[in-house]
Amino acid sequence: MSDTPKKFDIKDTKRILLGWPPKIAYDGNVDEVVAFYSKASGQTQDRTSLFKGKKLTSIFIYAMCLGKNAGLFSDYDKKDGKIDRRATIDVEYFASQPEYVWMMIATAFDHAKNVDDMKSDELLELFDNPAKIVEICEKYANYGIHQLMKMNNQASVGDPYRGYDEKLSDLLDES
Amino acid sequence: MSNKERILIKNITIKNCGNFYGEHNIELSDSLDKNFTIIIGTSGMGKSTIFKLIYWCLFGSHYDPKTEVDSTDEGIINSTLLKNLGNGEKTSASVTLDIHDQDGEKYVLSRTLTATSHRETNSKKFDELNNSRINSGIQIISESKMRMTGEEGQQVNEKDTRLIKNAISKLFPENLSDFFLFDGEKLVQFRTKSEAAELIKDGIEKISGLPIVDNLIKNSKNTRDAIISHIADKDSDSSVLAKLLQDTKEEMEKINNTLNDKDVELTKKQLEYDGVVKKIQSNKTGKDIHSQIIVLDKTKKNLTTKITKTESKMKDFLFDNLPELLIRDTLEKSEEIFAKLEDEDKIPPSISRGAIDKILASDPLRCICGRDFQKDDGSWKKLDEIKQIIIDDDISQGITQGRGLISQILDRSMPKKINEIYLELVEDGRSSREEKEKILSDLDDLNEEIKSIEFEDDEDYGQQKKTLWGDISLLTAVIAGWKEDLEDLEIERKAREFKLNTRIEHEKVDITERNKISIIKAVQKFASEKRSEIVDELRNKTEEATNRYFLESAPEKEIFDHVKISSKYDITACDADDYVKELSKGQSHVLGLSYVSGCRQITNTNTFLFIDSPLHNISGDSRNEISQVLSKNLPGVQVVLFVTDSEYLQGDERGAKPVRTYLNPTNKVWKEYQIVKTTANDGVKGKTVEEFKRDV
Repeated sequence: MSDTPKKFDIKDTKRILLGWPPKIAYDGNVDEVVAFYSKASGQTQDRTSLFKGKKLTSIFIYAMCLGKNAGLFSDYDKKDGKIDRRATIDVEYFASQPEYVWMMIATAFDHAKNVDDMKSDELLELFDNPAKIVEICEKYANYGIHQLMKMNNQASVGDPYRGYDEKLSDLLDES
Repeated sequence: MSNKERILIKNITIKNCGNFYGEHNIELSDSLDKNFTIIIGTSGMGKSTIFKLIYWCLFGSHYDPKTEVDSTDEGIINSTLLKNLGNGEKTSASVTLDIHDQDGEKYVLSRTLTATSHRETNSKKFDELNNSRINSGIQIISESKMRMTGEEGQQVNEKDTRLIKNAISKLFPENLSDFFLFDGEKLVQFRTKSEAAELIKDGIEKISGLPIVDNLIKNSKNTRDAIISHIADKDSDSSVLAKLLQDTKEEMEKINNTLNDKDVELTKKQLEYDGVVKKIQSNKTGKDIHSQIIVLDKTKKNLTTKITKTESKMKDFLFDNLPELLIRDTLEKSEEIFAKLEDEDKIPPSISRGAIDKILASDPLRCICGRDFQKDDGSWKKLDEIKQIIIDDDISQGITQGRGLISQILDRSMPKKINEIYLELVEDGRSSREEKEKILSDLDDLNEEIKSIEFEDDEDYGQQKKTLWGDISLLTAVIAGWKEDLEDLEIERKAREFKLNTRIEHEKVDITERNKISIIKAVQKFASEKRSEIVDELRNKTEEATNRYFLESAPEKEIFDHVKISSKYDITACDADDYVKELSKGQSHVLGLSYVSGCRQITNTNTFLFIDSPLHNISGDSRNEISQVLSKNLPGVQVVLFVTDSEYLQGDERGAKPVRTYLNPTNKVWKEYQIVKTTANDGVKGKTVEEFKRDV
């Protein structure tokens, strides 16, 4: 999960990403989600944020992992019958973080097999249909982002990472 | 150095300046071999006064002005003369420098201040504490003159301040004065990374003439902003955006002004605080308690750093591990899916190219059945074919890599492992915080103890210290808050500027206006690029020159391999593996001296180097180390050292030897002077400079 590239052949990941849609999206119809994505990354105004100085990709993956862990996903909200797929997360950033790509692939494979009930033969076809992988992951991230915002809101002056801390403790207890 | 023009001061004449009543002459060495002149004086005798008077004579400005008012003399005129000045009477003080180059006299520069009293009792207005005059009806007039050789070889006495300034600034650019009139106190800054970085940044920017480039960038930006604002006025959307941008800029300016005021207030409070601490230290019990406080403060500071580091580690830990732990089940399931696909021969076995390479590299290869395979066997060919299949198949390759990655994530996200690291971090943070709490409580007790001390003047310095510390902490927090606001506004400014520029670019504006913006933008870009090129080049040169001096002269120099100056101007000394070595006090000072020597190397002239207090605040072995460096380096440079008698003539209890014991054997010292108290024929007491008698 670190921003520093690991010792993997990035060329291979780049090759996988070639067929992917250039941008990944979040739900533009939910104001607080838009605000969270636009504020929480880069030169954030929230100095204690866990995502200070991190890229949008990290927020997306965090949200997706939370959604997948909960086993819950959400479709895009509709406003006036239209969805707003706010595609601002550059896929090219994933090249330096192959773990993220494989977390997404694993999420899509597991979903396709256990939720969509795809057969083994069909699963491999997912590699030829990366838009499907992205679509599945976005759904989990759409759900998880609300969990992430809740965790982030638990921050206090003396304990800025309280929500994350509690989540980690819960996961460790469960295991 | 040898090819450069050599510039030195052969003679200094001081008349009625500071405590130097009457006329005093100091002749300095012009020898290439015996290039050192030493000026010795106990603390407060006037070494720094002479140093600052030289600065004033060269530039007409004060080394560290106490006021912003030009009309005061800043303590240059002898106080006795001023105190006794009757209504309508005049008195004057002057400094004259004989400036030589390698061919002899070049200029004789004199600067004079004349005071005329316009009231009867100006002495009441003399501020003894600051050794300066309060606006007291004394008129101060400054004059300068310079004797030089005219174009036809005749002697000219120039009085035009502007011409004198031009001639002097060619030889001695004021902004580079640190490289020939160096205040040794600045060497202390080399012990702190950030302070050293600030000094180096400042030095490099001055040498490179960057302020001119900066002005160009600033002016281009202002002009561009003005044109954009002009265009914005013609369009309602743009004018709203321009107004918002302007609001942000004004808000930033307000905060900057407030910050400046708060900084001044903080400096004042800190000075007051230092004064109170001095008072406390003047009492024996107070001194003891205060030394305990210093030790505890240091520990507190270290603990604060440790806590911050642990918090940062915890942040990184949560950022890295939480998602991996969250997705762990999914990864395990996907691993099962891939394993199943492998069993069904739908994807190739999880074998890496690296593993096949390893097999191909071994000859012979023994099978578990005992048979040896040779390179010309068909097996080798087969293995090569398998390898080729794996390489050729993008998906296989991707899946192989991905499965490797997944197993690595699964391995490092094992809850037991994560739990161990997590508990360790929690424990580290808890114990440091507890330790800090304890120290804070001890500090409170000690500060309470100070309150119970009875001082001679009946003042409650303990309470004063507490109050001032409270004020300082509050101010520091307020300043930090303002700075954060400023950072936020800077983000807002950039965003608003971006929006406005985008809007302007898409607007149907006059092509001429658009062209103007493009041209100015290009100038700005060019200047910015040039700026960073110049900085890089200068930084590299400074690094190279500092490196050379440091590696020649640093104490225990063999442990160092090179000096580095980073893009943020952090200066570090590293070993051969590029690891940053921690420096002793002496090594830090030598690094500072190497930097000064290095920067001098970059400039075009071999100008004199006068160092005030080169051993400031340094004792024991470190002092010996600096003394050795001073005695070995700077060949051919006219060096004048302003030193205290204790450091030059005596050692200290921590093992420092007198500097003289290092300098004398080098045979580089031309003359030693000492500043002594004297009484003039008319009974006025003051100081004078006389040749140091070795038997004294």
